[in-house]
Amino acid sequence: MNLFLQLLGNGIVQGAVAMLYAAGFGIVYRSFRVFHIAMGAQFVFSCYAFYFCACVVKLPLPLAVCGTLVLSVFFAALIERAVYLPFFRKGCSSGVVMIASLGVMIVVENAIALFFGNEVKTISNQLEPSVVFGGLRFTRIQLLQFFVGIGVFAVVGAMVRFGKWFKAVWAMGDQPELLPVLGLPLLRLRLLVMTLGGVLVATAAMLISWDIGMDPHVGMHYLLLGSVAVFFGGTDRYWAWGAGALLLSILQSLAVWKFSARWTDLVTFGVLIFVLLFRPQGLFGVSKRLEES
Amino acid sequence: MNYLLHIGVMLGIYGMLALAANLLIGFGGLLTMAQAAFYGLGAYTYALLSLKLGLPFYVTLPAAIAVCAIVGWLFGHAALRFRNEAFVLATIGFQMIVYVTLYNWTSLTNGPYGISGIPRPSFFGLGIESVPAYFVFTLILFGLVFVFMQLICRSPFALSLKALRDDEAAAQTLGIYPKGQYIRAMVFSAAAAAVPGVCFASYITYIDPTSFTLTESIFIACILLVGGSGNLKGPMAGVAFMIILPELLRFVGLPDAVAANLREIIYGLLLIVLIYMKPKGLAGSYAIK
Repeated sequence: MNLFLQLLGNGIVQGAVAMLYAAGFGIVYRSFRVFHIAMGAQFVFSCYAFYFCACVVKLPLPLAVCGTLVLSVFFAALIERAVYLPFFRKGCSSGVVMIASLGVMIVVENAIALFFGNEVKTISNQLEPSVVFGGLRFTRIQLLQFFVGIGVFAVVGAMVRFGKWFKAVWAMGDQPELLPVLGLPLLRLRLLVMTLGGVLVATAAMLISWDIGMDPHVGMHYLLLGSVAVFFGGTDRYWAWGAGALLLSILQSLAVWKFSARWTDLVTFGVLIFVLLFRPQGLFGVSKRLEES
Repeated sequence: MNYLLHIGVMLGIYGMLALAANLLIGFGGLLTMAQAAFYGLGAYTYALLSLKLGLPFYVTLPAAIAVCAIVGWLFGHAALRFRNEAFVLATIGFQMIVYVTLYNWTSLTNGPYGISGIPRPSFFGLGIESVPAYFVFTLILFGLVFVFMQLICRSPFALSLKALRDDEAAAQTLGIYPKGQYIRAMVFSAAAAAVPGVCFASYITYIDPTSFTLTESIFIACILLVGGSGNLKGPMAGVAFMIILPELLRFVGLPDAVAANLREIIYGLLLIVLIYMKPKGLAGSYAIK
C-alpha cells in the first residue's frame, strides 16, 4: 500500500511538471493550429541554456533561471519570426508548417549535440535531501517541481481565463484572418503565444534537467508526452491539458506498480489510442458539430 | 567495390520503404509515422520464423508480408477514423507501441540484445552470401515492389485515393468509400514495407529494436518530403538524395562524431527550405496539406 501511495505521489509530482510542457504545446497548437513539433527543440534548448548559465558561466541559481527564461523567450520568438510566420504569410497548410517544425527540431537537436556532445549532462551532482510526509518520501527538487508546476500552470491559466488578449488568442485558432479585420494585432498575438509557450516549456525543462539531467535527444520524448496529454485531455480547453497531463503521469507512475518501468510508454500510447478511438474530443473536451470541426 | 554495392543494397531497401510509404503519404495524403513499425515487424517475423522454426525463405517472406498486412488491416481500422494531426499522432502511438514491445518482450525478441545469426536466403541449396549476389537479390525484390506499385499507380484504386486526398467529401459523392480505400492502401503499404524488412534482416544478419524507431519512421517520411510524393519519381529522387548525401559527406573529411550531426542539420535545414520553396519536393506531384 505504501508503494502504491509513493508511486501515486511521484505521479502527481511528474504530472505537475507535465502540465507545463503540455500547456506549452497546447497553447501553440490551439492558437496556430500547428502540430508544434518544435516544442521538443524549445525543450532541449532550454535545458542546455540552463546548463550553460548554471554550469558553464556559473551564474548564481536565480540569475541562471532568469537567463534561461530570457534565452528561451528569444528562441521562441526566433522560431515564430524565422519559420512559422513566413509559412503563415504564404498561406501554407498546417501539414506544411508541421514539417517545417520537424525541420527545426532536427536542426536544433543536432546543433546542440554538436556543441555540447551527445552524452548526458547533469546540473546537480549532490544527493538531494529528502522530506518525509506521512511515510512518503520526496526530494527537495520534487517538492519544487510540484509547487512551481502547479503555481505557473495556475497563473497562466488565470491569464488565459481572464486576460483580454487571450480571448483573441483563442479566436485566432478558429479564424486568424478575422483578427486584423477587428483591429487586433495578429502578429503580436502570435508572438505572445510563442513566447508564453516558451516560458512554460523552459520552466518545465529547468525543473526536469535539474532533477535528472539532459541529453540532446530528450526533446522528442517530452514533445510526445505533451502532445499526448493535450489530445488525452481535450485540445480546446486549457485546464483539460493540465488534467490530461496529470492523469497520464499518474497512470505512467502506477504502471510501474503493476508492470515495470519499461512498459510506461506502452501505457501512454495505448491510452492515447484508446481515447482517440472512444472519445476523440479527449476526456474533458467538448464534442463539436461537423461544420465546426 | 563492395562499398558501392552495399550502398546499392541500402538504396534498394530504402527505395522499397519509400515506395510503400508513398502509397499513404503521396496518394492518400495521410502523413504516416509508422512505416518503421511495419519494416520492423517484417524483419522480426522473418528472423523468428527462420531461426526458431527453420522455415525457408520462400515461406518466411510471404509470412512476413501476411503478418504486416494483417497488422496493417487491424491498425487501419482504428487509425483511419482520423485525419491530419490526429492521424499522425495515432501512427506515432502505434510506432511507439511496436518499438516498446520489440524492446521489452525479451522472451520472444531478445529485447535490446537483438537477434543475431539470421540466415541469408537460399534457393534450392544455393545461398546468397556475397555482397554482389545480395545486391542482385535486392535489385530483384526492389523491381518486384516497383512493378507492384506501378500497377497500383495505374489502377482506378490509385485514382480513387487521389480523389480522396484532394477532396474527400467530393470523392464520396462519386461513390468512393473512404475507409475501405484507405484501409486497402494501409494494407498494401504495410505489406510492401515487410519486404525491405526481410531484406534488411537477412542482409545484416542481425536486428535489434533500435533499427525500427520513430526516428527511422521520420527519416522515411523525410525521404518523401524531400524527394516528393504522389508519383514514383519523387520517392526515388528522395532516396537517392538522402542515402547518397551522407556518403558524399564522408569524403569531405569531417570527423565521424561531427559528420552524423552535421548530416542531420543539413537534412533539417533542407526540409525547412524545400517545404517552403518547393512544397512538392524535388520530383513529386503532390504538396502535403
